[in-house]
Amino acid sequence: MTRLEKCFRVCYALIMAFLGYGLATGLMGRTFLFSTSQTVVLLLLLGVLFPLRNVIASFIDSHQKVFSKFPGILTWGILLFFYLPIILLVINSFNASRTSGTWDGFTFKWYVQLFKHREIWYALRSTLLVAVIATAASTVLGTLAAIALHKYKGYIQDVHYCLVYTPLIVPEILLGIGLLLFFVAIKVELGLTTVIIAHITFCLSYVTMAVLSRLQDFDNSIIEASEDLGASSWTTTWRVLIPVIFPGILSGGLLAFTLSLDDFVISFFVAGPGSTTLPIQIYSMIKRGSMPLINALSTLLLAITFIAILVYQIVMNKKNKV
Amino acid sequence: MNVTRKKTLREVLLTIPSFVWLTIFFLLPTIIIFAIAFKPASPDGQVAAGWTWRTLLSLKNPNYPQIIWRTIWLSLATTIISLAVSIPIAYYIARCAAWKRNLILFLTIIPFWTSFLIRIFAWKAVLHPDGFLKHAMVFLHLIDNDTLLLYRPEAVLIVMIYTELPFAILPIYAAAEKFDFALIEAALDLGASKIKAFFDVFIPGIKSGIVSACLMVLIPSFGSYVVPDVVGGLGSEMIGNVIVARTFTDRNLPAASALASVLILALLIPMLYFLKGKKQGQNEPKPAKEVV
Repeated sequence: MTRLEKCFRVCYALIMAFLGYGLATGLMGRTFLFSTSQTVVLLLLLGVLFPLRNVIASFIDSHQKVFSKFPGILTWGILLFFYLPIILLVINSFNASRTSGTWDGFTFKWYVQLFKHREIWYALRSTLLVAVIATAASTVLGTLAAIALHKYKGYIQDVHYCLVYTPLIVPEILLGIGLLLFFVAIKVELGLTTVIIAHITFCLSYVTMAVLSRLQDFDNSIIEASEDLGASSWTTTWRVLIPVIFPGILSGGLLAFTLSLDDFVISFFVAGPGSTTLPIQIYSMIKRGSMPLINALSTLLLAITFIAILVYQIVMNKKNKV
Repeated sequence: MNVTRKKTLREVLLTIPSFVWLTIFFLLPTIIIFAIAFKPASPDGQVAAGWTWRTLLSLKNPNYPQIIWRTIWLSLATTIISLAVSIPIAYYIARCAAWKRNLILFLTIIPFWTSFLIRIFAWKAVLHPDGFLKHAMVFLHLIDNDTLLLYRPEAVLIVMIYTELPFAILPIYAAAEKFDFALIEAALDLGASKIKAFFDVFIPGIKSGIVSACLMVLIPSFGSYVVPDVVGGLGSEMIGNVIVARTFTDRNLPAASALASVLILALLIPMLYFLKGKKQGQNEPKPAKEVV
């Protein structure tokens, strides 16, 4: 037995003892790190399944025909898990009953009510305004950043890269509170402008990544060819570089647009009075609990998204064939 | 001389816009989070002048250890379950026929483009006390009529898995797609059992994908706020909810920034891992958002 194995066994025994103690205190009604049911699950996983792993493995091996279907069943099961809540939501938007448990017949009344809901239309207007401005600005900034990152190497570009990349991995809530504190510190009134600034900031990184991945795929020699043939760098940029990376710019812009339309957490922090975007409006409706109205609104938005994705796929497929 | 100067000028012109923008609106705000944690709060909801250690004492709130512990176990459980589910799925997608693969990938990517809030809200209807799942479970005598499915940590866990799963599937699939399945056949020819081949050949082969999926799920889970807020109740708050409560309900910005600083420090190591992996070249962990 190696030292590592010994260490492992001691740790295992300690964890089991700890969980056993937890189960005992839980049953006596005192609080423990986990609730009683969680402790039982952990004890079963670690205490029964783990020691028996070899037995389980050989059992699975001797029944390969049955178990080789497992990944397939799991995949389709998970897809059902993905879509079942959404399908139920769509069905319920046509349900005359206020609650989702009973079916009181087919109706369009929630959609009619939705069209009379003034606040939603105002929210939609500001969402679109924010998304269009943020997409335009972040596409320009992101494309410049990607070209710089691709063309030049060195210390400055390493720092630049970290700056572009980190917003992608930081939890949204930290981006939101950081910007809120920043705007409070420099005493800027919260409103549509602050929402737009926040959206440009996180969209920029996505656009840069989309364009950069396109730049990394393409053949640098055509740039050199263009320069060798006497084109000025201005001509090379506009007649060679931009057309080549245009699909990257397009998909980056599209990503920025949808992310901006969808963003809730960051907008929630930096929105002020009069800058309610659609996600913020939906959130407050979820909180206030007019469920059928949100069902109808969600169904409309889902339909728009599906159509947009289908159109995008068809256009992209056609381009690929040509 | 003139040529190099022109070249430097061009680099500067290309770099400055995004560099300056991100320095002002990303780097500076992040530094400000730490700075404001050392500022006193003023009663009107603004930040008062001067410096103080007192704000940090607000972290000794007796409710916090419980909430931090809950954040840790919910995030870890989300990550472990998502990985356990995603690895067989990635294996299946990588091996099945092209049309099926495109269909499954398409169906996995759609959630990226649909509204995050709507997908969480859909679960609220599913778990609603008057909803379909409750009726079904009562009918099967799995639960009695008084049990609430909503507003408990288990509900938060299920919905967090629901929202994070695509972020785990895509990077693992991206790694599995590059995996050479002839290696598995070689292992089988050499006498390994199928399950041994899966664990000892396939899983090490897609390690980079697993690592990035792990971080891709873990980091946002730690900062999640909307899921516990919508489907969780008082007993299922996470750090994100407390940050929002300090910011909007109490309007105590220094206390909120102290908590946010704790969150940044807790996530620093996994985030640095991403940045480090990025520089090392081909087999780096990639965020799923990039794979799309």
